[in-house]
Amino acid sequence: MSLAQLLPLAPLLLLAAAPVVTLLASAFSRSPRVVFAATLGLLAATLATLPLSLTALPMDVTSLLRLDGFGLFLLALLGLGGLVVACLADDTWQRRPTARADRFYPLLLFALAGMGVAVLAADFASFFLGLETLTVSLYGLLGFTRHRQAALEGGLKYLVLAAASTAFLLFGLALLYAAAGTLQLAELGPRLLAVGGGTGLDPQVGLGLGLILVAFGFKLALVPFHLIFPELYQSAPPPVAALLAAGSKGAIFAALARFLALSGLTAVPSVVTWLAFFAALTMTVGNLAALRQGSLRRLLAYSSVAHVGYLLLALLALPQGGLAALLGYLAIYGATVLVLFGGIGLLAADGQEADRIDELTGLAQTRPLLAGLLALALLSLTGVPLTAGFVAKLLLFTAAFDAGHHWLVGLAAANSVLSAFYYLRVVIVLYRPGPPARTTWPRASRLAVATLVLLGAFLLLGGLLPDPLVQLVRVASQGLGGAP
Amino acid sequence: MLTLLLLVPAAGGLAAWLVGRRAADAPRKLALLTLLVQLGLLLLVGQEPARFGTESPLLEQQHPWIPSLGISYHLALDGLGLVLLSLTVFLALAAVLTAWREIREREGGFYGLLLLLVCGLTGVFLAVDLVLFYLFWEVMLLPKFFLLRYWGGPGRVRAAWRFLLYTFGGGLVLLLAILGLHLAVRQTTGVATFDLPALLPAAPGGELGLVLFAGFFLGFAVKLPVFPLHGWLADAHAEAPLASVVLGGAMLKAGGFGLIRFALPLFPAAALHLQPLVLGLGVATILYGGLLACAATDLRRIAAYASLAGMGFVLLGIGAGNELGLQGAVVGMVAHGLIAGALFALWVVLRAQTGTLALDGLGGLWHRAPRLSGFTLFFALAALGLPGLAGFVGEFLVLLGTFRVSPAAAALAVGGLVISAVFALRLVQRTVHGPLRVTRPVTDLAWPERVVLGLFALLLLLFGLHPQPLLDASQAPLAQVARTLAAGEPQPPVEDHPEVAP
Repeated sequence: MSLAQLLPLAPLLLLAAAPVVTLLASAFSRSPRVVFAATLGLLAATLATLPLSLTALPMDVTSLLRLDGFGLFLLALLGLGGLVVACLADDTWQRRPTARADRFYPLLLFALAGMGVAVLAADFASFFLGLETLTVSLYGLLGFTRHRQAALEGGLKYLVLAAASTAFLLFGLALLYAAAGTLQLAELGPRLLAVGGGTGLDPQVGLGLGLILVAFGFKLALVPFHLIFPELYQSAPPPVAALLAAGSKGAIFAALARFLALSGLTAVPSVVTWLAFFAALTMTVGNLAALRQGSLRRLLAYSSVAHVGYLLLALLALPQGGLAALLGYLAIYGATVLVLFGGIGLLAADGQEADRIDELTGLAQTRPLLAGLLALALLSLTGVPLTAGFVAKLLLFTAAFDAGHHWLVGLAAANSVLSAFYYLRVVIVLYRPGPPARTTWPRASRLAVATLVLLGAFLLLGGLLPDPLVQLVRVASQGLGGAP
Repeated sequence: MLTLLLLVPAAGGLAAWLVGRRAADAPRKLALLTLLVQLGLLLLVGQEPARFGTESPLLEQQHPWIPSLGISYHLALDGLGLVLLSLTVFLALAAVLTAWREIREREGGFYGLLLLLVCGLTGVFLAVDLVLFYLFWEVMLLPKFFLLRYWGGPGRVRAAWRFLLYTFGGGLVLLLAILGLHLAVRQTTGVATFDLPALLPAAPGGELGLVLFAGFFLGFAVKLPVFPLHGWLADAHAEAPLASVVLGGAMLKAGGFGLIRFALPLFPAAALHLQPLVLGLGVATILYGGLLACAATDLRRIAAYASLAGMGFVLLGIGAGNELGLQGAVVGMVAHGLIAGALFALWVVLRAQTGTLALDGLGGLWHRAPRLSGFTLFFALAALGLPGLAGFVGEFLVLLGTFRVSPAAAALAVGGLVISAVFALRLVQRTVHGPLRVTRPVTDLAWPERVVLGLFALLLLLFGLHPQPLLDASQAPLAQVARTLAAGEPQPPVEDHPEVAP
C-alpha cells in the first residue's frame, strides 16, 4: 500500500491509535492534564486529517469498512463530540478529584474508536467489533466513579444488559448468515429477500431480523427495552451520560440506517410495520414518562427515548430524504444533549451533581449564562423555530411525510406538543423569580464554559442560518443513499 | 425597510431586558421609545398612498434563506397588513402605557417579552413564505406564554399551560398542513418551495385540498378562536397581566389574517365546499360567546367572551368570502382590537381603584368617578355595535356580505347582536349604576389614562363615521381574495394601473 493510498485513511488510523497512545502516556505521566492534552491533540489531528479523505471517497477499506460521505460526516461528529466530552470531563475531574482520572481519556477514546468502526462498518462482523469495543469501554466509563455505589451498580447493570443484547445480536446474525451466506451489508439484503422467494421474508430470516431488532432495541433504548436507561443517566458521571445519549445511540443508529439503506429491507411491508410500531410506541411512552419526572437527568433520559422514537421516522423515510434527515438530526440533537449534560456537569456541588429540577430554581439569577444555555438547549429540543432543533424536526418530518407516513408524522407532532410541557417546565424553573434554591455554585473551568458557549452558538446559528448544514448533510448522505 | 420593522422591536426588546437589570424604570421608557420609532416607520411606509388600490404589495423583500429546502426570507406588506400592523403598534403603545403602573416587578423581562411579541406579530403580518410565517407564529406564542406564566394572576399556571396546549397544538397542525402543501406542490410541479406566490397557482384541489384547508383552518381557528376551540381564551384573558391582554387583542387578529391571506386564496374550492360549516361555526361562536358573556360575573371574562363573539363575526365575514364580508371582517378586527384593548386598559384602572373586577363588588361608580364611568359606557356601547362606532360598521358589512350567501346565517347572527346588547348593558348597569359597593376611596381618571382611553374612543368614532380609509387600504388584497373564491380557483393579480408619474 503506497502512501497515497494510506493518506486518506489517516483519520481512521489516528482515531485507532489515539487510545493506545493515551494509554501509554498515562503510563508515563499520571497527571490527568497531560493525558487530557494528548487526547485533545489526537482528536484535533483526527479532525484535521478528515479533508485528506475527501478526495478518495467512496473508498473500501478491505471489505470490512467503507469510507463514504455518510461515514465521514459521522466521523467528524464523533471527533467534535469527543472533544466536547473530553473538555467537560476535564472540568468534572478537576473539581471532583478522582483516583486515576487519567484513565478516563483512554476509555473515552476506545469508545470513540469503537463508534468510528461501527459507523463505517460495511460488514456485520466489523460492526460487531466496533459495537463491542464501544460497549466494553462504556462499562468502565459508566462505573468510573468507583467509590459511588450507584455508578458502580449502573455499570454492572449495563454489563448484564449489554451482554444479553449481544447474545441476541449474535444469534440473529447467525440465523441471517445461515440463510444468506454473507454478512456483507450490501449483499445481505438482496440475498435475504431472495431466500424469501420475493414474496416476503423467510421465517428464519424474519426471526433473525427480529432478534437483531431486539438487540438494537436494547442499545437504542426503544420501548419496551428502555427501562434501564433512566437509571444509567442518573448514576453515570454527566460527561459519560452525554456520551451515552449523544454518541453511542447515534453511532448505533447510523449503523442501523446504513444496513437498512443498503439492504433495501425498508421496502418489505413487515419491516416497515415493525419500525413504525416501535417509533409510535417509543416516542409516546418516552414523552408520557418524561412528563412526570422530578429528576432532571431522568427527564432527559426519557426525552432521549422519545427522540429515538422520532429518529425511527428517518429510517422509515429511507432512502429518499431519510439519511440527510438522520445526519442533520444526529448533529443537532447531539449538540443539544451535550449542552444539557455539560450544563448539569458544571452544576455539581459537594461532589454531587444537581439532579432534582427544584435544585435549579432561579438559576438565572446566579448563573445567567448557564441558565441561558440550558434554556436554549431545552427550547431546541422542543423544536422552537429559530433554534437548530426546529430545523432538525423540519428535515425529519418532511422526509417522513414525503415517504407517506402521514399518521406517524401527525403522532410525532402531537408528541412534540406533549414534550413542550416538560421542557418548558424546566425553563420556567430556571427563570423562576424569588429566592433561588441555591445561591452559590462552584466555579466551572473556562474551557468547559467556552465549549458550551460554542455549542450554544451552533444551536442558534443552526436555527438562524441552517443552509450550510442542510447542504452538508445532503451531500454527505448522497454517497450512501444513491448507491445501488 | 420591512426588515427594519422586525428588527426595531426585537432589538428594543433585547435592550429592555438587558437594561432591566440596571435600572428599574428604564425598560418601560425604552419600550415606549421603541414603539414610537416603530410607529414612525409605519407612518413612513403608509406615505405612499399612490400605491394603494393595486394588488401588488406596497413593499416587498425577498432573499434566499435556506435555498436547499426552498425556504426564502420573503416579506411583503399589503394594505391589509398595514392596517393590522398599525393596529398592533397602537395597541402595543396602549399596553405599555397601561403597564406603566400595573407592572412593578421584573420590568426588564416584561417589556422585553412584550416587544418580542410585537416582533412576532409584525412578522406574521409580513411573512409570505410559509415557513417564515410559521416561525413568527411560534415567536408570538412563547412570549405570551411566559408573560402569562410569570406575571399572571393566581390561576396563571393552569391558564398558561392551557394556552400553550391549544396554541402549540394548533401551530403544529398548521405546520403539518404547510408541509403537506409543500410536498403536494413539489410532486405536481417539481419545484420545492414554501413561497406563497409560487404555491398559489399549484395548490392542490379536490380531497387533498380539503384536508389541507382543514389543517390551515384548524391552526388559525385556535388562535382566532372559534367555538369549540376557544377553551384557552377566557382563562388566558382573565389571568394574564391586563396590560398584555391589551396587546393580546392584536394576537387574535393574526388568526383572521392568516385565514384571509393563506387559507382562502390557497384553497378556494375547499373553502367554498366547507362554507356552510365555516358560517355555522361563525354563528355558533357569536351566540355562544354572547351567552357566556351574559353569564360571566367577572369583568375580564365578560370582555373575553365579548371578544369571542366579536371574532365570530370576523369568521362569519371570512366564511361569506365576498368582498363585503371580508371588508366587514377586517373592519371588525380593527374595531374589536380597539374595543377589547380599551376595555382591558379600563379594567387596569378600575382594578387599581377598586381592588376588584367582580361584578358583585362594583356598582354606583358614576357619582364617584364620572369620567371612568363615561368611558365604560362608551366602550360598552361600542361593543354592542352602536351605529356611529367602528364595531357597527364591521358587523353591518359582515351581515350584508353573509346575507348574500346565506340569509339564514345572517338572521341567526343578528340574534347575536341582541345578546351583545344584553351583556353590554348589564355590564354598564352593574358597574356604574346601582348602590355603591366599593369601600375604597375612588378617584377619577388621571390625565395619562384619559389620553389613552380618549385616543381609543376617538379612533372608534373616526372609523365608525368615516371607515373609508380603512376600506381603501385593505380593498385591493381583499378584492383579489373574493375574486379567487368566486372563481373557485386561484386568480392572477389584476394588472396595475400606474398613475402617471409626476
